[in-house]
Formats: sequence, structure tokens, C-alpha cells
Amino acid sequence: MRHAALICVAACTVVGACREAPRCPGSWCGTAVLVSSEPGVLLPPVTQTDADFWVTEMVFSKLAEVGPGLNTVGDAGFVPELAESWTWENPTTLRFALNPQARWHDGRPVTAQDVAFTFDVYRDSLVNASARPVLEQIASVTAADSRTVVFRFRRSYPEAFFDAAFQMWILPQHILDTVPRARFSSHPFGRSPIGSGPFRFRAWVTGQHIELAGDSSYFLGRPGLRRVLWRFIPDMAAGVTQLVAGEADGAQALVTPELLERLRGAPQLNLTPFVLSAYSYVGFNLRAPGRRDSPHPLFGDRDLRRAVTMSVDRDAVVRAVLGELGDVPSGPFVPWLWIASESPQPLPFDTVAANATLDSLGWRRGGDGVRVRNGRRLEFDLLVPTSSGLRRRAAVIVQDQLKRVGISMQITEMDFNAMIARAEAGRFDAAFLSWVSDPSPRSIRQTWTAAGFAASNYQRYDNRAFDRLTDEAVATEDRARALNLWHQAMSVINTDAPAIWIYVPRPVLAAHRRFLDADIRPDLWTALLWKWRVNPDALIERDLVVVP
Amino acid sequence: MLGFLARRLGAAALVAFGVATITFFLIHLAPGSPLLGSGENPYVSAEAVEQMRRNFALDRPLHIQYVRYLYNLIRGDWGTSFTLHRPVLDAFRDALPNTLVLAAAALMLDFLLGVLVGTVQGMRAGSRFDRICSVVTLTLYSIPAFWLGLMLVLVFGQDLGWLPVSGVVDPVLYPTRSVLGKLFDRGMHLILPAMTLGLIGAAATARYQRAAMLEVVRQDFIRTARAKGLSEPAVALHALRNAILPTITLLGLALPMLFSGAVLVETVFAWPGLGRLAFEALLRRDYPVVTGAATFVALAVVAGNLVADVLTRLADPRTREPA
Amino acid sequence: MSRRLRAGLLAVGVLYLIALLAPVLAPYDPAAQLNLAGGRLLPPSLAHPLGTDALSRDLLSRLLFGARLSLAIAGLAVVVAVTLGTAVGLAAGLAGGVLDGILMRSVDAALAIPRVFLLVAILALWEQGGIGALVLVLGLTGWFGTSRLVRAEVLSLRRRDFVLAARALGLPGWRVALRHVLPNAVAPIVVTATLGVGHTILIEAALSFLGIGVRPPLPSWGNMIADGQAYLATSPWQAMAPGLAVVATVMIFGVLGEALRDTMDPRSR
Repeated sequence: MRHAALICVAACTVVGACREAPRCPGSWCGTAVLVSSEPGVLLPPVTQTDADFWVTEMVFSKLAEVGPGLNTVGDAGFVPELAESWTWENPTTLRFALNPQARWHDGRPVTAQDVAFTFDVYRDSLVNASARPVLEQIASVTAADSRTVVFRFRRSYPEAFFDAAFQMWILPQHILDTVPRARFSSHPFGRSPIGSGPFRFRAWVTGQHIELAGDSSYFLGRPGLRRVLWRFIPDMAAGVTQLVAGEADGAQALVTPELLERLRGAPQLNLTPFVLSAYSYVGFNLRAPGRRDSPHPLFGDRDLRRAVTMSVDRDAVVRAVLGELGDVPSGPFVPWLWIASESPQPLPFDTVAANATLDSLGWRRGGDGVRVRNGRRLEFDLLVPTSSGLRRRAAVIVQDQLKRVGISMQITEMDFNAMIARAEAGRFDAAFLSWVSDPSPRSIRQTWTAAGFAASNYQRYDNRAFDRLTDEAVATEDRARALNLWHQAMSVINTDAPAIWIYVPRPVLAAHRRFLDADIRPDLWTALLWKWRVNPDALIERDLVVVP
Repeated sequence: MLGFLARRLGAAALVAFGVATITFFLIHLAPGSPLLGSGENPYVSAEAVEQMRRNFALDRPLHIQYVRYLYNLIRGDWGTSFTLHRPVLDAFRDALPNTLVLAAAALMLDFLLGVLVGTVQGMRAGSRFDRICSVVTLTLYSIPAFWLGLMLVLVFGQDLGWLPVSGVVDPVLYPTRSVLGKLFDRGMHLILPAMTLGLIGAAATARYQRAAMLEVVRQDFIRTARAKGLSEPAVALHALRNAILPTITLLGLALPMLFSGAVLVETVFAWPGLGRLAFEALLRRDYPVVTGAATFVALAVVAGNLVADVLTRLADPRTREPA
Repeated sequence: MSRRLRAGLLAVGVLYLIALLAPVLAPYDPAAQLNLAGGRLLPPSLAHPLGTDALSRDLLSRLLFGARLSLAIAGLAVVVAVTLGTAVGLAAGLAGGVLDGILMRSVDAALAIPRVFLLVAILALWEQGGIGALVLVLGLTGWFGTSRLVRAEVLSLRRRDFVLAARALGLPGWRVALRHVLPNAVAPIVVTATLGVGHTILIEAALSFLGIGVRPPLPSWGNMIADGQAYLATSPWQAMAPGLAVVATVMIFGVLGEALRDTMDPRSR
């Protein structure tokens, strides 16, 4: 008798323990598993890595989003988000009317005070927001009433609206105003954010995944997906493995030809190449390493820089490393930026001319094939970040190409932060750098003008003519004239050859076929993710899961 | 016993302090300055970096930083990570259980399999089984752990598709699973990494145990037991009780060894443990995490030694102090 | 000489011969990117017995040059470690007293830190060292066991007649050490050194795999495995070949070491 009772209890326990959760009833189902590297923090002013931006975009909102045409000049190309409408009271005053239905994920309404608070945070030097320099032209942001925000600019310029509406994700004042600014970036809010975007944050399991839930009460409409899981992967090869195996549904992937082949072999995936505002280059340090007051012993010489540039077959590098998913840029910008149309060409791949130049400069071939002049070998060190498999591969190819011309390039791979630290301190010969920028040519000045000495102009490229031309181009309203000015600037920089423009990658969006309306905005692929939905006739197991 | 413990704890504290000091200076003297986060953003200004240096007290002289560091350590404030944007102890709290689970599973596999095989080998020294096992253990012992991991991933994860090759759980279905389901999920994810660490350890343990058994089997009391007609398994148990001693000592030292192996295995399997955390922090010059990890390793080592000593004392009456 | 010993010596000899003759044996230059357009990740064939890697470099050539580098690094590192360990062990054993105490407590403390962790910490932070620094660091972290061993030998030999006699004759300590004690302690040192080469190869492979040992584009078995990891699904031989090379090499040194131990030092059987 007792045995029977025990068996019964045991069986019931086992059965109870085995019972799984209920299934999705059917009207709003859909789980997307996306793969990326792990974000560092989800707090808008201090977000830095790509993964930070992708997830933050889903949880937070801006006043207005740029439309798919990526037109950042004026305000016609923008789509309302937190702001319902806006008017220019005068060329330097912009008034936004907030959508009265906008809510934070904890239920409180989004107010104009939140916007003013956000501006204050972004401009605070203690917070160290990466967008801080860009907001310099905004003199003040004030709340006229709880639904109206007024932006006052120092001067009028073409991309004023872009800076006001697009650069900041709005923060909740009622949660964050008591946080000391010096400790802003390490506040727990960054790992458990509350925003006003289409997806609510649910969980962040360190080292594993982030879980987001679609906010059914989102003021612009319920997102198509009920649940989004971000799985962290150590590198793209692991991500592709998961995509191909059906364990993941989507990713923005910078792929090599081999990985592309594997993706193509997976019938359940739709592959859409798209464009990204990122360019990679080998930048020469024009100043002596560690002693910025003297020119670099090798790269201070413009003719030498030109010869090195002409020795590199950039097309071959791109074909080998990216296959058809890459382009060679003709300057420090991507080929689909409006300034790129009919822009001047960079130096060609011409080993004959390169050899001739090197010979004429006095560099003779030594015993082991490396050129020598006055006892000094033509040898330099290239810093490459270990985080980028593409750049590591490309560096080895460039090394081989330079060897054929008698130039010895040593490769030093190092952690990305460590490389930036050395580049900043000027202790390098050459570095393989890469920038992802706004869809606007203004960011070129951060890296290539004297104003960039405090920013990312580690090479100390300093050409007054170039600075003047770009300053003028940025301030000009007339598009045709601006284009002309930009072209002149490009001629100057290509003649100076401070860097070898190596590649612009075309990432591929890999998305499961069952997603409908799977649009992407090229500069930030998750911006339109809330419109994605699952074809009701193609639901798979994970779409039917409902988390209690 | 208490006196012994007190002395050993005192020595342990000294060692931990020494290691923490060494690692602090090691890291601060290394080239490369820390920067917040990673990412290809053109907007990091020099002024911002300077501000960051002030935030993390990196602008003070080295000895002042050191004193502040020790004081904070004792207080329980192990600093805030530069790249993870959270307190170091929080990051450890998330990562440590994963490493412990992996280490425990590997250790179990190591001990059980190793002692079993080593004991049988010892009892049947010279037989074909013994010779085959010797070759197998020698081979396993010569395999790099990370390569074994990759091969296991290749065979079981990709070709056969039986086992998951990364992560601790399946994030999609885990929250909806029943209790048993959750355990099963965790178990499946644990198999490959634990096998990688455990098999190599088991090979070493088996060799060690075999040698120890051979020592014991030669002795008189075993011959007596056999002469008395005890069955082989009983004799084996007899011998084992004596031969197990050195193996237990070895296991006490296993924790620090597992931590070293964990760095490699966690990297291959994307296992979010302390080893991987510490390694990535090293590469990024994330000072607080690295010094915290070093201190933690020191404590683990010291704890391991202590445990080994205590176990040995308890198990072997010969080493006890007179009552 | 036992069969195992002969086999082990022969195998090690062949290994070092291959490593020495790598430039002659390798069909291609290990750094040569032969055909970026169509010759990448080729499967094994007659032209490329182990195939090519992602940059169209011949894998067999890289494997041979990797053998050269790994065996050289391990050999030199062990020489450094054994020399240092022997010196310290002799000093501690012969001097006794305070010096002995200090040295041996330091060794205890150093042995407490996991070697891999220490190596990772040093190499990850000082990345400009190159091969020389790698050998040095491997050697400097590998001498602790040897010193303990040598010290134990010295202590047991101290009491022997010939040592007492030498001392009675007034010979200085270091001469006693070198001429009389050391030759008798050679046996365990050789065994430790041989096994040490195997261990060092494993450690160097691990460090190169993590990216902080031998750095690309120089080929080392460890970083070849790391390169092959990305292609495990499509071209598994890239990671398998160098791994098998490591296993075989370490096994050979293991067999040799144990054979040496059985022959020279029957006490420790």
C-alpha cells in the first residue's frame, strides 16, 4: 500500500516536472533569434560597440528617425518617432511636439523634460558621451511645456535637424536624474534599461544572451515579433554555424567568401547584401613615433607614401578577403555616399611606377630583397586589431605584395583598445584602422583635419588646404557646389596619400525566410526590426513558445 | 588540528597578499593604457580619455593606487570594469558559477574514470588491458586540451549533431522548460566542455593511480589478503584505500590546474566562465578585472593547497600529530 | 638498451632532423600566397598533400616550418629552465640554512601559481617580445620543478663518502658541486628535461592558439590550429593536421622520457 502511494507520488512528480509550458494561441506569435557579439552597455550616451547600438535602437527611441533614403540634410528625409511634428520658428530655433501617447516601459509618459534632461546628460563631460562633440552647435534644449521641446542652435547649418533629432536616444529623467554623472556608465540601468522603444528589455544573461519582448502597447503600433533573443557569439564563423543549423534566424554579417558559401547552402535563409558606412585603411603615421614634433623617418616623405600605396593591389586584397562583398573606396568615405559620385580616383596599383620612385629616392635592393638606403632598411610595423579577422587576413596579403617591391612590413596583432591607445599616443608606424560613421560626410573631418587632432586623427595628417575645403563644403547649402568642394578636397588628400584605402565591406543580412516585411536601414540594421513579422503559415517551434 | 589549520590559514593569507601585490604591479608596469570600451567610433576626444583617467584614479602615483587597491579589496570593493561597465565582483558573480560547474563536472569525470582505470591497471599490471590503457592514457595526455575540444565539436556537434557546441543553455526554450527539462538542457551543454577537460585529467590521474597501485600491490599485506582467499575486487579495495592517498593530494591541487585549462576550453566552447573573462580582460588591459581575477586565482590556489593538506591529514593516520 | 629507449631516441632524432631540414623538405615557401584567386582552402591533393589555407599557402610547408619553430622554442626553453633550475637547486642544497629556506619557499610560492595563467598574463601584456621573449618567459617559468629535484638529489648525495672526502680536502663548494655532485644528479635532470620538452610544446601550442605565443604570420602548430578553427565545418584538415603533429610529437617525448627514467633511475620505478 505504502509502496503504491510512493510510486504514485514519484510518478506524479516526474510527470509534473516534465510538463512543458503552454503554446502560443496564434494571433501574435514570433520569436527571432539574432546573433552578435556581446554588447558592453545599453545606456545610450555611452554606447560604443556595434552590438550596443543594435540592441539600444530596439529599446530606446529618438525624436525622429532618418528615412530609408538616408537623407540627412534638412528635415524632409525624416520620420516622426517620439516627436509627432515639428516646426522651424526661425533658422536657429526648432520646436518639437511630442506624441502624447509615448510611454516609458514602466508606464510613465515621455515628456519634454525627458528630452531636456537627455541633452544635459549628453553634453556633460563627466558622462563622456561619444556624440558630445556633434551636439556642440545646439545652444540649449528647453521644455516649453510637458509636450513641447525647443532646440536653439548657435548658427544655422544644413544638418541641424539631423543633429537635434537623430543623435540622441531619449532617456527617462524620472529614473536617471539622481544618478551621479561620474558613475553614469557603470550604473545598473545600463544592464537593465527602461526605454520607450518597440521592445522591452527582459533579461541579460552575461556571456550568453539578451532577451527582449515586443511591447504590445508601443505608441506607433505593436511590433510584429513577440520575442527577440540576442545570442552572443565569439566570432562570425560561429554565428554562421548557428544560422545554417537553424538555431538562429538573423544576423548582420561581415562575411568572407567561404562563410558566404555556407550561408548560400542553407535553403531557409534569405541573403540580402546591403551597404554600411564603414571604410578600412592602412594609415601612415606622419610624425615620428613617440615624438610628434618631428616627421616620421619614412612616412614623412610624401613620395615614399605614394610609392607604398601604388605597390598594393587593393582589388586583389578585396577579392581575396571579401569576395564580391566588398569594394575598394576611392577616399575616406564609402562609395555610395553622395560625395562619391564621380569623385577623383586614388593612386592606381602600379608596381612599375612604385619601383621607379623607390629607386629614384635612393632605396636600393639589399641582399635579402629588402630595400636599403644609408644602412637603413625599408621596414615598418603595421598594427592590426585582433578583433577583426578581415583586417588580419588583409594585412598578410598586403605584406606579401609589399615584399615583392622590396618593402618589409612586420605585422603586430594586438587588442583593439591597446592599438587605439598606441595610435592615440602616436607610437606606431602604420595602423590598420576602420571607421563606422554617420551617413554624412562631416565625420571625415574628425579623422582627417587638424580639428581631428583631439579626436581620431592619430596620424596627424595636417593639410590646411584640405581643412579649408572641407570646412566650406560642410557649411554650403548648395549641393552642387558642395560636391565640387568635396571633390577638390579628395584630390588633395589622394595626392598626399596619408593612407591606403583598402576596403569597404558589404555586409550581408541573413534572415530566415519566414519573416515578412524584413526591411533594414543600412546604417543601423535593427532600426526597422519592429516591423518584421512571421508568416502565419510558416510558424516554427520557437515561434509558438510563450514565456510565462 | 586547530593549531594546524590556523597556521595554514595564516600562510595562505600571506600567499594571497603576495600574489595580489605581484599582479597589481605586473599589470600596471605593462605597456598600454586603458580605454573605455571598444568599437570604431570617431568621437572619442582626448578630454574624455583624460576624464576617464581621473574617474579610475589612474592619474595618481603608483603607490597611492596600490594602497587604495588593497584597502578596497579588503572592504569588498574590487573596482569597476572598464569594458564591462559594472563592478568586478558582479562580473565574477555571474561568471564564477559557470566555471565551477564546469570544473566540478570535469573533476568528477577525472576522478572517477581515472581512479577506476588506474586501479584496474594496477591490479592487472602487465596484461593486455594494462598495455592498451597505457597507450590510450599516454595519447590523451599528449593532446592539447583546446584541440581535443575542437575535435569533439567537429565530431559530436557538427558531423553527428548530437550535442550543442556552445553556450550553457538553449536560450529560446529554456525559460519554458520544466525543472527536469532545464536540468537536461544544462547537462547536454555541459557534456562536451567537461569531457574535454575531464578526459585529459583522467588520463593523468589514471597514470598516477596505476603507479600508486603498483607500489601498494607489492606490499606484504596484499599478499596476505590474497593468501587468505579474498576475491580480487576485495583485494583491490584494500589496496585502493592506501593507494588513494596521493591521488587525493593531486586533486586538492586540481582546482588551480582546472582554472588554467578552463581558459582554453571556455574559449573554444564560448563558455561564459571566469577563465574567458580574465583572458579577455588581459587582452583589453581591463586592470580591475585582471587584478581581481589574479587575486581570485591566488585564493583558489591557496584554498586548493589547504584542502589537499587537510584531506591528506585526515586520510592518513601516519601524518597526524600525536594526540 | 631497451627497445623503448631505442625507439624513443630514434623518433626524437628523426623529429629534429625533419625540423632542421624543413627548408629543404618543404615543397613551397610557407609564407608564399600561391594563388589568392582560386587556390585557397584546397583539399589535400598530390600538389598539396595537406591542402592550402585561407591565404592559399601550402599547409605541409607550414607544418614543417611550424615543427622547426615549435621544437626549437621548446628545446631552448627547456635548456634555460634546466640550467636555471639546476643552478638554484645546487645552491640551495649545498648551502643549506637560510639561503635554502628562502629559495625553497619562493619556489613553493611560484609553484602555487598556475603556470599557464602566469604565462598568459605576461605574454598578453608585453606583446612586443617576439620569439626570444617567448623562449625566455617559458624558460623562466619552468625551472621550479627541476630545482626541487636537484636539491633533493644534492641532499641525498651530501652524506655520501666522496662528497665528505672532497669537502674534508678543503675543496670549495662550487667545485664540489660541479665535479662531484652534479654528475650523479644528471639522471633525473635528463628525464625531467625530456618530459619538459613535451610539456613545453603543449604550452606553446596553447599560447599560440590564444594568439599570444608565436604570432602570425609565422607558422606554429598552435596558431595553425587557431586559423583552422574558423573553417572547421568546411575544411577540417586545417585544424586536424597540426593537432595530430602536436600529439605525435608530445607522445614521442613522453615515451622517451619514461624509457630514460626506467633505464637511468630504477629507484623511481
